[in-house]
Amino acid sequence: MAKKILIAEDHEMSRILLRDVLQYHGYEIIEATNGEEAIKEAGAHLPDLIFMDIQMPVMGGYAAIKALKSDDKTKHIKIVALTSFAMIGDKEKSLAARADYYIPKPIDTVQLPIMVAEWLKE
Amino acid sequence: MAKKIPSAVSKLKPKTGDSQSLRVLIIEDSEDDALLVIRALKKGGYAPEYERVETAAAMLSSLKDKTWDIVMSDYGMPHFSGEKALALLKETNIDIPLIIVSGSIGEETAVECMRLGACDYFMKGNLTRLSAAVGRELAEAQSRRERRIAEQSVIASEFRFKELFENMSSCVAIYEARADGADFIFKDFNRAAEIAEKIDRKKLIGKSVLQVFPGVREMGFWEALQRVWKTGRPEHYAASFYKDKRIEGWRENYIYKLPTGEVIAIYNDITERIKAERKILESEEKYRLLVENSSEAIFIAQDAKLKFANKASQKLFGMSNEVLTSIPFVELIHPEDREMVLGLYLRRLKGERVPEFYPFRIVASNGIVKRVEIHSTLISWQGKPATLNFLTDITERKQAEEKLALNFETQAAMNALLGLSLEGRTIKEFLESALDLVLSLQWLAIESKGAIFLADKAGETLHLHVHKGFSPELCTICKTVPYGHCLCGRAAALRAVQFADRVDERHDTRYECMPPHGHYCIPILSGDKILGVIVLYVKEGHIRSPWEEDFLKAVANSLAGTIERKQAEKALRESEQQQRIITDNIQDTVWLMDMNLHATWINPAITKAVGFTLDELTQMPLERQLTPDSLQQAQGLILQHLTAENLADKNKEINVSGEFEYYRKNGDIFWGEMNISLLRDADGKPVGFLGVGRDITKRRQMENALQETQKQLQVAYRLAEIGSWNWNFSDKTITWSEEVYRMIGRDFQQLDFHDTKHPQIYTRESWELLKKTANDSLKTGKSCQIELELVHPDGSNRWVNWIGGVIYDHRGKIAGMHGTVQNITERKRMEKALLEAQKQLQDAYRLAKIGIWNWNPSEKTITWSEELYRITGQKFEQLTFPDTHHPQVYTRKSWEQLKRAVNDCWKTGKSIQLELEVMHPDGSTHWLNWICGAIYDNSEKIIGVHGTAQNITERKRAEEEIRQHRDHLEELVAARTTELRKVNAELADENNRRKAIEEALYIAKEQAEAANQAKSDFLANMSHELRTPLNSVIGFSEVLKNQLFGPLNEKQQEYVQFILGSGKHLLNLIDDILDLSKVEAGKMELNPQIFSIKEMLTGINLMFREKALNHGIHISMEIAADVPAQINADGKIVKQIMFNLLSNAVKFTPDSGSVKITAKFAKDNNSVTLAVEDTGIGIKTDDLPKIFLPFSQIESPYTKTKTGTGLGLAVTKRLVELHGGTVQMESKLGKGSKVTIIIPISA
Repeated sequence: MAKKILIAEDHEMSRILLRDVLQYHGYEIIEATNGEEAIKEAGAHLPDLIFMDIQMPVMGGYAAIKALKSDDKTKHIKIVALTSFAMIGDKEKSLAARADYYIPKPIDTVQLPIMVAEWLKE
Repeated sequence: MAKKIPSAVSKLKPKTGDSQSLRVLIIEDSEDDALLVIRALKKGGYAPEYERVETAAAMLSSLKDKTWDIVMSDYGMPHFSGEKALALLKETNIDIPLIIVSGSIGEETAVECMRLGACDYFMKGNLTRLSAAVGRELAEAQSRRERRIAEQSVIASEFRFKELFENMSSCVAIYEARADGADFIFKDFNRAAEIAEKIDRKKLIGKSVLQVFPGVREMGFWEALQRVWKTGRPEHYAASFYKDKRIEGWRENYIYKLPTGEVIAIYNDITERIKAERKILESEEKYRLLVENSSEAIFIAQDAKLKFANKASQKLFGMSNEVLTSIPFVELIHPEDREMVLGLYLRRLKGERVPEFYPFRIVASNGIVKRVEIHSTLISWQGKPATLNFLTDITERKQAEEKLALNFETQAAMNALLGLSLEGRTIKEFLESALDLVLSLQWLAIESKGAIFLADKAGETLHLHVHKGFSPELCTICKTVPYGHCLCGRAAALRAVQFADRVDERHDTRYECMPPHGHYCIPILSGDKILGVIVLYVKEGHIRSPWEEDFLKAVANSLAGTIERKQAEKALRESEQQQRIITDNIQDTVWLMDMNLHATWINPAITKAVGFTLDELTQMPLERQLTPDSLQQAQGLILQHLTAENLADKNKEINVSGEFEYYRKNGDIFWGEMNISLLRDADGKPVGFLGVGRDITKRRQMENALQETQKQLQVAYRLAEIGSWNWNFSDKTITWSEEVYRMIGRDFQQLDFHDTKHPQIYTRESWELLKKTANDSLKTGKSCQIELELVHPDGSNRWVNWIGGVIYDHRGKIAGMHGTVQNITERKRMEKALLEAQKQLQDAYRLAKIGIWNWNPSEKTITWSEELYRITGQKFEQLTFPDTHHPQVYTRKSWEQLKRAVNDCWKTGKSIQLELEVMHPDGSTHWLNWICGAIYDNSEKIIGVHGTAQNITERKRAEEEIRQHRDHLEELVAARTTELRKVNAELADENNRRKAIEEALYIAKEQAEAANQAKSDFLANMSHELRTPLNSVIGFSEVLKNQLFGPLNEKQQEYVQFILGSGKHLLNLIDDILDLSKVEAGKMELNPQIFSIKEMLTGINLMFREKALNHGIHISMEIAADVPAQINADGKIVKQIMFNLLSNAVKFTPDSGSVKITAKFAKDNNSVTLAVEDTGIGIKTDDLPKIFLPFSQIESPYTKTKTGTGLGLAVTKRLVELHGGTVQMESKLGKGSKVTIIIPISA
């Protein structure tokens, strides 16, 4: 069965890019446009991996990661923090919010599927 | 009963399968006629089975034995008839059709037969229709039978219904609608209903419901009845019903519509059930309230969380119910207790037996650790196991217990020491026991290691006397310790307690294997005389505690007395021993005397003692043997005893003994003990004397010495002002040592404890205390220590420390009490002086109208001195802080200031002074000069806040007045200075002008900086906003380029490559802008770390290798040997600088060119010089100054083909400067460029 990946990203084009590339590589994609939706969708579909944008309206990525990681139901799901401002400390902050991985934007459409396959293998 | 006639019975087997079998009873006197009937039936398609009878009896018998389908009967027979057969059949009540078959029958007879119940009749001559008639009759009989069964079952059912209806315990009423449901009449009413409604059903049946029970409309029942009748849907509801307009009870109604159209109501009285339910609810509510409002914290724990917590729990933990029930329970437990509590919790859940009560610590929301005791019970909560817990806050109890235990332990230790000192042991044994005892006191935080040294007589050296836990090496090192060199020596030399929290430089004698530890060295003093030193090892880092010191001093004091006494005892014992040895070696002298006391025989030993020969002695008068005093004494003794009376009494034994001074032959005098007994003959007549003498000179000397020692001991006691007492039960007297007499100043001899004179010694209070303490001690057997005030006859009072212990005899019975009395008047005087000083201070405060307050945060109480109550004009029973009483004392602003100040002080220890406004109840306001400061304990920890408050209202008022006067004065001054001002105005104008210019410049500078900052912020934000869509552009074009979703033609591929290239360029540009703005906005910070410059350069080189290879560019690297392997700088920034430089070099170097990287180290200014040199296009010298400006791409023949943001060098320069370095560029157009940076490496 295809592995499920939840993409939480408010910027539509970024979301579509990520979705299409991952769909092309055979993953089933669930989409969310903010942290709240991400939590809801994660609870409903229990995906294998979550891409979590950090800057989102309504509820940001840090808060969503914290919530997901403190819920017994979803805490096993691996979360990749996505951030578009590669400032000093972002990575540490993401990881402190208990994200499993961190990638700065822009995403590399060639490297990303390889990394995803690696993450899902673990 | 008639017998069957066998001949008349014949059977015919059924002919064919399709013939219908038929059982026929034929009543006929002729067999032939019977056969005729059978034949006719056979012809009609029946397969008859028949029996022929011709009497009533035979017919009955046949009917009884067998089942018949039909009966055929002849009309007239010799012994029977068709009519009789009909009657008989009717009697049997068996429903079988009977057909008359007659030879001849008249019309009337036929009619009569039919009337009697025959089904049909036939003439024997014409039986053609018989079969058809039989068929018809059988069918009719069948339907008759069926109808009857139906009727019977209906009857049975009705019967059953009636039974049920009547006997039902529920009330049942059946109603019939009238007037299209506008009214109902009672159709039926069962017995239960009659009883319930207390009405006879006869009065109801057929009556209108509304007429009988007009109130029915109000009960909701009426509507229900109508609804059920109309809709046919059953209803079930409970309703209360009334009687005399009061609620009487509840009924549960089931209403159905019957198929008959009637409506049946079945109802039950459920008043009791409802009442019971309400009671349960009430009691549940009661328990809920009880639990909720219990002062004990009650909660239910399940799945490691609290599922329920009452108010007290919330208060205990200081958390709301939501917080309490959402966080794991374990987080509430003190970290050190978690394992224990969870272990017990899990074991309890598993059903193991664990203690019901156990204490542990919790951490409340404000971080306060509380001690609690839990009582846990396993319960089932919402279907799963859980624990019901009662938590009691025992913090205060525990603290009290600990205090008590501490007191008790101190007491016990002192008692034990006292006990030790009074047992007959050697000094060593005693000291060992004492050391053991002190080391066993865990609360002293002492390791089980220590020793007692005793001082030598010379007062220069300590000798290790007993020890515990000392290694042999340590014993050797510390065998003798000179005064003043180590802590122990210093304690001895300084006569003061020495403490060190670890083995430190003060220790001259160092011992390699000594583990880290601290010391207490306590001198054992008797007055100013040093007897020894106790050394106790404490854990390393142990904090010196005055309390511990006091206790240890007390121990040392206790030891001091005993050591002195023991040493004296030892000396005594030694001298006694010597004496005994000497006296034992002197042989007793025995001699016999006549009645005139003339020696008649003397043993030879005397010659040794006196030097006289036996002859000489026997000749010698007593005057020459004894000194005159002793002679007189001896004669006195003899005369006293050798009276005529005594001699005459035959049974009287006369025994005289005494110690006398004798002369030796050489003229010396020696002490002898003489014992003379009267000898009588068998008749009792005196015949002479037997004398036994002994030289006791040595003993006498010893005794004198002993007396001397005791005197010295007493002197010691007197100096220490310690006396001893002994209360002997057997002779009911108290004996006091001389020192005690000195203290009491009275010559009470042979005084019993309960003697009326005894209380004179003490003040009344002390005497009561003494009586009580002695009594308690005798009851419990425990030692006691109290302070008593003595009333001296000279008018002065003395304070003594009175220690008492119980004496047991050898049977273990209490034989008395003994103890010591120490004069502590001086200490008491000091204490009193201290108290007086405090009082004086308080008086001073009072006179200065300064109030004192003291806040104890652990109890949340605040105490006020009288003055504060006077100033504020308020009186409080109990003051707490922070609490609600204060706002009524202070103005709101002052109260806020005060709270803040106390909290600050509590947290930081800072002293704060405020002027606070208080509201007096008489309406006036007063000003306080309010000061607060922290209270510290011995370990410099803040334990509270205290301070003073002085009423400064008067001063304030005075100040205000002064201010007003001053204002007035200023007015005058102002008027006079106006002139002066005018003169100054010009000058000032000039000044102002200059100031304005300066200000304008300053503002311009500020604005410029702000604008720059705004620009940087704008760029930072902007670049982020630009980057997001750009990322999409790059991402999508990458996907297209990789042809993930279908192939592209060549043109498309080319265009996509363009989009991608442009996108990436733009992204680089934005990154550079961002870097630049970050540096300019000061957002980039240095982050120095240790890294290898060689590794970093190699890494960058690798990044450009592919590109360089593609263009045939050779990159070489040269790192000077003296460049340190590891340098300290911001590696990230240095890497970015080098990346930018190398990127530029490779970019602007034509194919087959070369790039060279060099690294050098400058030791004198500790910097690294890095250079990138290329054989590229170079730039004009004129352009060099512009090269580091942003967007300053230099025009060159190659510009158009080279891509770049024009920001690379600008960023590089700023990064270098950020790192405190410098950058410079050398270049020659067409030849190449060299960029050199110098980076300080220890930023």
